[in-house]
Amino acid sequence: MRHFPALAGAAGLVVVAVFLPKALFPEAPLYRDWLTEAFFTRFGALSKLVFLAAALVFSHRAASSFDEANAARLPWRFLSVGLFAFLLGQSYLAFVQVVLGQPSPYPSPADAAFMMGYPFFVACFWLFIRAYREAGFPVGTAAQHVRIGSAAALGLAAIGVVALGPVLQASVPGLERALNLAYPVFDLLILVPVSILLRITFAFRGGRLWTIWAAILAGFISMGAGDILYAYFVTLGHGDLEPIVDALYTLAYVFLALGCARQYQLSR
Amino acid sequence: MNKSQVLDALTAVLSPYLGATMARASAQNQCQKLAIEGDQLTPAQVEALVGKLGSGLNVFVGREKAAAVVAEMKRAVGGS
Repeated sequence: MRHFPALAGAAGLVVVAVFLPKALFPEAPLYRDWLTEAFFTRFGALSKLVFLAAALVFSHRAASSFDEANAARLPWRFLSVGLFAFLLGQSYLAFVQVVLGQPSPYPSPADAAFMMGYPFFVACFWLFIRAYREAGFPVGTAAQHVRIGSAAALGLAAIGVVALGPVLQASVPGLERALNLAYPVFDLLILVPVSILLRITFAFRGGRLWTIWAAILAGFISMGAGDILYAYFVTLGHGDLEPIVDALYTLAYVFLALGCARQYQLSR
Repeated sequence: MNKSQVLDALTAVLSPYLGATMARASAQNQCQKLAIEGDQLTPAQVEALVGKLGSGLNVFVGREKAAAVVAEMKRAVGGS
């Protein structure tokens, strides 16, 4: 447990080192003859499961380390519920890919699990903002937070309109189109409170609280980037983006596990 | 007790958790909220200041760890 943050950091570097060169040099002999698609499928599926499970365990323990009356307990609990839903979804995908040896289905029951997780993530961040604002530390005024949230919402909506335009126009079945939109839209809904939490927690830079939140927020930013790229990848047939998408999802879960582990270490 | 020394001692204890900037700012902020003025603090004012900082920390680190930090703050200002 004590060494988990270092382990997660090393795992993050391995993920980048394995996936990024594949995106840049897909025809390199290393990837053609040695690290084949089958390897990547197993490596990606299993590493996502391991780090999601770790994030779930540590977030659950972190939530339990706060007493019932503590305003931070509920958002930590919501975060762990969201992670549990994501773990269910990833478990289904891993079963199909690794055990059945089939390509990742889309849409699938996994998407139902992911969709159930998102509202808990959105809610947990707003609850964290409320709890941390009420703690009495000088983390900015309510007006500042409204301005940051509004600016983030406008900026992200603009990015969303530009980025999701091609996804909307693509001729794909209705459910697939709805999911291609739902994932990035949920991410944008998450990134608005995340931008406010960045302001709040950045005030703690240099301390352990900042290392916790830098990791968790980096996790959700990676997840959002992965979802937008995945929508492109699926809709527009950009197979070349797959290693980057896999790297972003895996890194997201590594960051989340790291942040949750650090919180548990701090509050136990 | 000398206010500057008390704030220095509290900042030193809180910095590993909050970062040096926030530790100092929050100690000063709580002084203002408690209407602590002048260069000297009474033991009651120090007690109230430490209590306020500890209760704020509670939401980030939990009750047990916050209690440990409060004890550490009390030890630190005891020497001020």
